[in-house]
Amino acid sequence: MRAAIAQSDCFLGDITRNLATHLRLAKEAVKGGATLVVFPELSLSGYLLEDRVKDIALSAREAAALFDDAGLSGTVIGVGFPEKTRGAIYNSYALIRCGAKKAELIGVQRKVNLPTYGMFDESRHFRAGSSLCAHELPGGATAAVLICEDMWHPALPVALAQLPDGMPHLVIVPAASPSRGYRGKRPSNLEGWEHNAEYLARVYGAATLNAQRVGVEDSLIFAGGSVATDHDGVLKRADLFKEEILFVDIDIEALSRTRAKAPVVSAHDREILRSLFA
Amino acid sequence: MRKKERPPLTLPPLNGQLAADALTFFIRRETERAGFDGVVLGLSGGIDSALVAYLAARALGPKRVTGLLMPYRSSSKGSVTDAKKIVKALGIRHHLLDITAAVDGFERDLMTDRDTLRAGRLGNAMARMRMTALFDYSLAHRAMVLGTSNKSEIALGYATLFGDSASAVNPIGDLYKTDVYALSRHLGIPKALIEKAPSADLWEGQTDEGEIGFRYADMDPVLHRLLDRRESPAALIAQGADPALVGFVSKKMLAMHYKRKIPIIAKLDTRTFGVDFLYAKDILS
Repeated sequence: MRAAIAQSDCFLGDITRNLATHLRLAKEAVKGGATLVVFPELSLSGYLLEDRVKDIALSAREAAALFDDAGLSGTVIGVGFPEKTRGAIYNSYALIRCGAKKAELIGVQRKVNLPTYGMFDESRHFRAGSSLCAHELPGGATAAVLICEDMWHPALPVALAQLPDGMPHLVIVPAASPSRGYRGKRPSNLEGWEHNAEYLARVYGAATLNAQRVGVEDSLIFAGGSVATDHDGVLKRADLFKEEILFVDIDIEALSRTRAKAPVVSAHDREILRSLFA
Repeated sequence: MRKKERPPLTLPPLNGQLAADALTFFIRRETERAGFDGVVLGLSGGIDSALVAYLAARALGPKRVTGLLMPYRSSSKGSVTDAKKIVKALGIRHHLLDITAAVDGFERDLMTDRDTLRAGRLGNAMARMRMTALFDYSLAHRAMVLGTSNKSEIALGYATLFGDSASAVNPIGDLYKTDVYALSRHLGIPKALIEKAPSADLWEGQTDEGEIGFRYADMDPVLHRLLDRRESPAALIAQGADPALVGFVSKKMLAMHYKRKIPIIAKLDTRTFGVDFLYAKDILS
């Protein structure tokens, strides 16, 4: 399968304009052969929403419905949005399958670890999610979503590997990581993302799609620099400081062969894990 | 026996290319999103404003950048000459606006007890007159005011409140003076500008380092350790940093914090500006 990371920019708090950006980039990605197009964290709304969150949050169904009649039939789109439920707002990510007319919701992931330190204040505005799952994509691949900070918590990939069917083929990692640390070769936050993507590929045999935001919101500079690993764990990088579509070809069969060669994760013994955590 | 010199603390070098690209992107995006046609900045002839001019020209093209040269009677003659060199090198727009008459008028008509703290107050008046001219230009020409204060100055509060500290957007406020030099060298800013002594240029012969009492080369690594890495003053002294310098810098950093805050509003109602009315400046209604 060919996947695409849409390293997108957005207008802070303006879902209508951001939807237009999503449709434009998704169409370009589809033209390039992609059947899965993933956008960054909170891609429909922007990141630094603060008090605006309450005014623009929408339900997962409403988010999916934005892609009705999108002209992207057969394409799966991953989008980030503030999700409104009856009693709470989550930092969520929806996988949406576009149809000939209606768009259908494949699943939603709610961010589990809400960074609330330094420049981050997420738990003030969002409630934390509490579950992880594998989403079935058309064609037989499975995908899990780790939203930004969730990729940095080692327990989460471990938990993914314990899902009933084992580690999903793809790990989609939408992020809005403000760049910082300009004293090295690359912004130091991006170096961390690369290490994480390579770690997931090497240890878990998962193809990783880390979709980074590009843009500026007040003091925060989102530098882009999305990364992807394919079935062999080969890393690809998007450019810095510009909108870009990064294509990656992932051979699901080859991915399974890679895992079989070094079945580190499948050797995880639940009983041992349980006793270690006891 | 000769005491062995401890190596001084150093600031890890900035990646000039990366920082230049980030700040170019930042200026372009902030200018366009805020709906301005271009930017305006005060060009003093010093390295900070020269760097901002170079970054802005790189971001927007020279014709969308305006430098205001605003000397006072006592400004060093070299300042205007140096500022003009930057204008010429970049091909940006500029206006020479002498603030002498305005500041003299202020002194004559608006200052009470003229002899109390006269030099400092006049220095403030000059900085605020320049701010007034910049924001006036901003409104008339749809140009966003770019700030030119660096992180060392901001940390030490070496600025006039509502004067040179005022701007719409400051691209270099997270760069120490040492970083400003590094980035300036990367962008090919003439050596003479980089090498001249930093000065607020409020009176003849004034220099930052003379007035502050320490060199930026010594202060910046200490600021970096205290501010960014949150090391303790005691730890820095144990590593060989000058105790007087560490004491000075750590006190100033908090004592001058008021200069970095918007005016404090007494909270009486449910949502109060500056307290719990939380929106990014870039939020769209």
